[in-house]
Amino acid sequence: MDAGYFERLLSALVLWPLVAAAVVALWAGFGRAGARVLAAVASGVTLGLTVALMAADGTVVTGVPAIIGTLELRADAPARLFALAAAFVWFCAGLYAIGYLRGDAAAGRFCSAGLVLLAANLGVFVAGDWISLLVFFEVLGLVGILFVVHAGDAPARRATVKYFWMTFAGGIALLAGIVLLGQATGTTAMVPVPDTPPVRWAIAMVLVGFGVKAGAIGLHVWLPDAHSVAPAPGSALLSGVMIKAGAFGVFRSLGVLADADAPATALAHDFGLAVLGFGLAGMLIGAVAAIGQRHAKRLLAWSSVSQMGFILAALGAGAVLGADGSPGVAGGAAGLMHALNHALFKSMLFLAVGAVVHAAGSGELDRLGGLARRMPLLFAATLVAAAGIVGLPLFNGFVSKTAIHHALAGLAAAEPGLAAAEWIYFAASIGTAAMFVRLIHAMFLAPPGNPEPVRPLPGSMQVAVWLTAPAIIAVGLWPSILLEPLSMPTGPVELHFGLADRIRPFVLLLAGIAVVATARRFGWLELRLPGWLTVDGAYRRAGSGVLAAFATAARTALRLREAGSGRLLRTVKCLLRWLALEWTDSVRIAALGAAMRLPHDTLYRHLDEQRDRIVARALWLANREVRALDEAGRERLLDATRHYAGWLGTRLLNSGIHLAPGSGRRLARSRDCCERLARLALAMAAVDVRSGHEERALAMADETLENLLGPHRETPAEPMPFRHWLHELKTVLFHLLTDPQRRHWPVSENLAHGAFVSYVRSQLRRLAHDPGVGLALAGILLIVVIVLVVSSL
Amino acid sequence: MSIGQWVPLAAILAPLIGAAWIRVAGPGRCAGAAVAIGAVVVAFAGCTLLAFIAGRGASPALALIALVPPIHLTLRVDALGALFGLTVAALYVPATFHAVSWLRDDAYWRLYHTVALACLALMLLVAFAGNLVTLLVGYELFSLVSFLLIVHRRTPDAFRAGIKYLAYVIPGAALTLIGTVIVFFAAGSVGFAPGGLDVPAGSAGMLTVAWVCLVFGFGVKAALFPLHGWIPDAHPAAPAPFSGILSGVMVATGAFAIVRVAYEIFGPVRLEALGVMPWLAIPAALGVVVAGVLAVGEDHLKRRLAWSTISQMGYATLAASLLEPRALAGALVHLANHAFIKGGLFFAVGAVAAVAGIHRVSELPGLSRRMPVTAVVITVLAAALVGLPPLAGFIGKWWLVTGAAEAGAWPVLTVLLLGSVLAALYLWPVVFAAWSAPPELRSGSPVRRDEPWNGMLAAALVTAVLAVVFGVAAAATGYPLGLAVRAAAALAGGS
Repeated sequence: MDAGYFERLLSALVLWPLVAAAVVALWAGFGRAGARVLAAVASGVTLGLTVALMAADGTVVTGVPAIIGTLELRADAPARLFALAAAFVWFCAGLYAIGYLRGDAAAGRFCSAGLVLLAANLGVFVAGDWISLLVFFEVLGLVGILFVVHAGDAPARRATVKYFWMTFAGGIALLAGIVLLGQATGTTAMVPVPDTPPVRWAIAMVLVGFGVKAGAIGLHVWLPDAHSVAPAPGSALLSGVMIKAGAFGVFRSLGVLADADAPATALAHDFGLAVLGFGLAGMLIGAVAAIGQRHAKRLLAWSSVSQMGFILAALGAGAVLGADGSPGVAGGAAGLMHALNHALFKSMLFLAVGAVVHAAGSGELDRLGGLARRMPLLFAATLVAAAGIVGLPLFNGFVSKTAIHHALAGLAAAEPGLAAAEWIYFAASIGTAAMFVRLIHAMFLAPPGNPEPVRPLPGSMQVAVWLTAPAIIAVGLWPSILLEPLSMPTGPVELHFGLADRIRPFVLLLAGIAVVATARRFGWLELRLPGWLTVDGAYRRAGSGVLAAFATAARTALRLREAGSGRLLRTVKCLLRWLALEWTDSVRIAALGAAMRLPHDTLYRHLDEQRDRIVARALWLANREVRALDEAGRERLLDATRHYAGWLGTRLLNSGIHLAPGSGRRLARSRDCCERLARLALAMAAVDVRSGHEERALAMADETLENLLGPHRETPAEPMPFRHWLHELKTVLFHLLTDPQRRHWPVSENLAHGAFVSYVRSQLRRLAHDPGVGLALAGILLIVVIVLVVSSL
Repeated sequence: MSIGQWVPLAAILAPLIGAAWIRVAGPGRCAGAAVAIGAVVVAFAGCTLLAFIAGRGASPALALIALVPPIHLTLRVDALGALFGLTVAALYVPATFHAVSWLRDDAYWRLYHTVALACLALMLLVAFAGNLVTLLVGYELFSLVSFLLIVHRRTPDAFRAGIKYLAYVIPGAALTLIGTVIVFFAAGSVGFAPGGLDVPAGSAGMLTVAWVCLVFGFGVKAALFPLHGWIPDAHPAAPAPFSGILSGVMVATGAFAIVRVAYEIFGPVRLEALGVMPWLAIPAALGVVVAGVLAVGEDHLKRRLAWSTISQMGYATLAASLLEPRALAGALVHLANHAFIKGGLFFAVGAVAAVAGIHRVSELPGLSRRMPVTAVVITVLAAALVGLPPLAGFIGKWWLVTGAAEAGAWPVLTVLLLGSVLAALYLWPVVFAAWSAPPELRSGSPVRRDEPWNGMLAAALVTAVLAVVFGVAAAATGYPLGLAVRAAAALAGGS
């Protein structure tokens, strides 16, 4: 090996995928087939390059002449490991795409963009200074749009808009932060920074910039949408590898806060706490949100939010503790290791679930089920990956999650105020177990809800899904292959797993099963957070408020210009009229559109509620019907009714959202519509249970839906009758507690829509839309936080 | 006396000769197009040569005629002039190809080429001017002559826009003349000198008056807020290739003149002492924000781009007002890159209007099916204008932002970042609309691809390629980054 071998290898790592991307783009542009195979081969070659680079010892440094002077590349041990994992997952996804994108018109664009993204992603990992990190990171974020928009339909476009704005805002924050850091240190290299107010601002902005990509809670709003609308190989890469660029950026920025082998500085301590807080909140909120998802890929996407929470919490804990305690070192290393593990099992999950969705034609959990026998290989693959993410012993997640637990426990020991961190970890782990119990049950084990036959899968997809499994198990058996390089600067970390550590995952898994069983029994999985309460809703309101303000400004300018050219009197009159007309608008806009709601959102909510009502009504009808049946028949009819009612409700939602808001809302509130669809669901379920084939039922469904949605036969507005609250109380007291048949409380008893509940709901909604109340609540929260902080000092 | 001295004269004379030929000899369409392209290419070659010469530190000068003794018309090529001259000539090459296609069925094509070539010659005269009077001669002449191009379409709207343009430009020209007279009276000379002129006789008040006259006079052209009123009207009225030139280099001429006056007539030290720079920074910052906001609310494509030009010119003026070499270099790089990016956007939008009849953002959906290459070009140029790495716009933005940070000017830094957020806000809808399909196309029915391979598409494509090359290989090309850094160092080194 001659001098400069590894340096050339490192440059090739970034340049080769770009060259390959150009070739693939030209190849696909000339209409040749095989662009997908070419792209898979190119990512395989990149994998070879990363493997060859692993042989280097020490840090490899080189530069690529581009942009302003040179892009510095620097491959230390963690960077090499991340590059290896990224290239490996990319190769699997490329192989998978050969089968998945067969016949897709945009396959060439996808493959070519994928190679550019590969170069950018490897570039983020091996970036040697801030400016090359910025350039690679921005390219990664912006070219990623092509993955999100791939399907080209309305949900994909909506997700793309959200993705672009979040990425762009993150990029601006990152640019500002990096400029400020460069100003403070006088160089663009990643050197330890002094503790001054501008540097604190800079670090905060850099962390926000990376946090957007890493799906840190509060900045995550793009993630569930973007990761679920992308094609399956794209989702695997977005969720498996590309968000790791954000986590790696957070790791690099925490790295400049203190020397690697010195005790934590005040700067590292404070920002470590911030990252830890984001991580803890993310792991819990992500887990809770994931359990209730209706779509398999959205469930996986929310699980990514939760898992990124684990990673950020571990990185934060490592920074807080610094190098003075072994849990601290272990924390940082555990965070990185979990990021690598997550890359393996999450990409495998997305590929496997994507294959199931591809074969079954739907990802709605209500519509899947019973696939364990029809797709045993995919079932086994999902089990392996789920065992990894839940953290069962022998699988890779066990090692990193246990290490994270040790770090958080060490943190609790070092700072008693942070004892809650360990409990949040337990809750989030139970949530992780619960969401995968639900996913696997709904997809593979539950009674089949899918009336359509399963398509056969191409061999390349099967192979690609299984490629990751050996890595998952190998890391689980020999964790030191990852742990040693990741804790390089301070020497290898010793991890001891006691008996308690080995038993704990199983206890958490049992708790997860219990959670899912309870939630199913009481209908909690159907509960939804109202739109106005979510971060997403807040961002959307702020965005539309800003846009409305700009539009008003442009309109006003136009009006003034028209009134202008010397006619002073008219100008003044126009101004006065403007003041009178637009004053209310301006006040509303000043509150960032607090009271502004898009008609589309309202319609969606109404239709969503109608869907719940249909399910409830159908189950109520079914409950009346099934008295005559035996226990097994009852179960089957109820399950089938739930599936068909959910399916019909979803179809109503999908079609109703495209109607004019007025007629859509009428449909959403119509009792007649609810009644007819509920009866239809019951009838379909009865046909299905009795005969087992459902073409007739499906044709019936189409006809009824057409009648409902037809432009001339819109049903008249007729509000749902509400029960009196005394009646509700009676139902709860006398029927629910005494009658074991009435198990579907509260949905089946229509309590969620009773008079009392909806009165309270409407009052809450009114209060929430009142900016004054919001401000007062924020004030109270602020005071509570201040009091808590002061009292803990 | 070396050959280098005569190159600027040749570069200026070539378009003039071409213009005269087209006007006097009256060639046919093909021959006329060939003459116009030939003249522009000669000017471009000359400017490239000058950029090489100036890049090696030489600064050839040539006194032409005594206008009013002791003032001569003088040519001098320094790094700043070479940078600006090359930008003008380089943008003219695609613009002329675009014009040849755009004017295919136009009765007034000879007039267009004549006036456009004359404008090129006069702008090169401004770029290579050796003293304030030479600069003024070129500046005023092309300001007046370009009126003919704005009213080219002879529609009532075009005449209204043209009259408005004159109403802004003529008082501006008068102000610059007054400023020049005061400078001559105070300093006894109007030559450019790095670090500023010696002013034995001038009081601070008089100098401030001269400064205000010159800056506001040139500010009319430089789209300095609130003197920008003519821009959003003139751009939609003008022919598409000239809109590109107007936005790309003609507006930049004003900013170029302000830099010349600030650094080589007054000098940074004296401006610091006069304390006038904040009064330049405030309108520039207001322009960045207000024009950006108005662009977001504008539906007409060319007007939206015109507002964007006002906003982007604000960047350059704002950075120049910091009197900081790094920020100045950023401003010059941004001026050059902006010329290609904005020029290219106007070329592409002009092609879309000419081929598909689309003039508004709300009519854009479906563009990517009808004109896929144009849609890609618009996307790349929009990303470059927003300043996304690694495209050309990022280079200027990086130097501007780091320059502002070095000067410790946090408000300026904030305004610059806000400006690029606004740029994303007004360009994202354009890109998004171009790539989304209208309802009648969603059914998947085949769409007619009516994208002609002609000069309009070629012009847009060339600027898009430049926007990528000047970003990815900014340090390797030596232009505009290397030349701008040299120019900024030369200007600041005199103080």
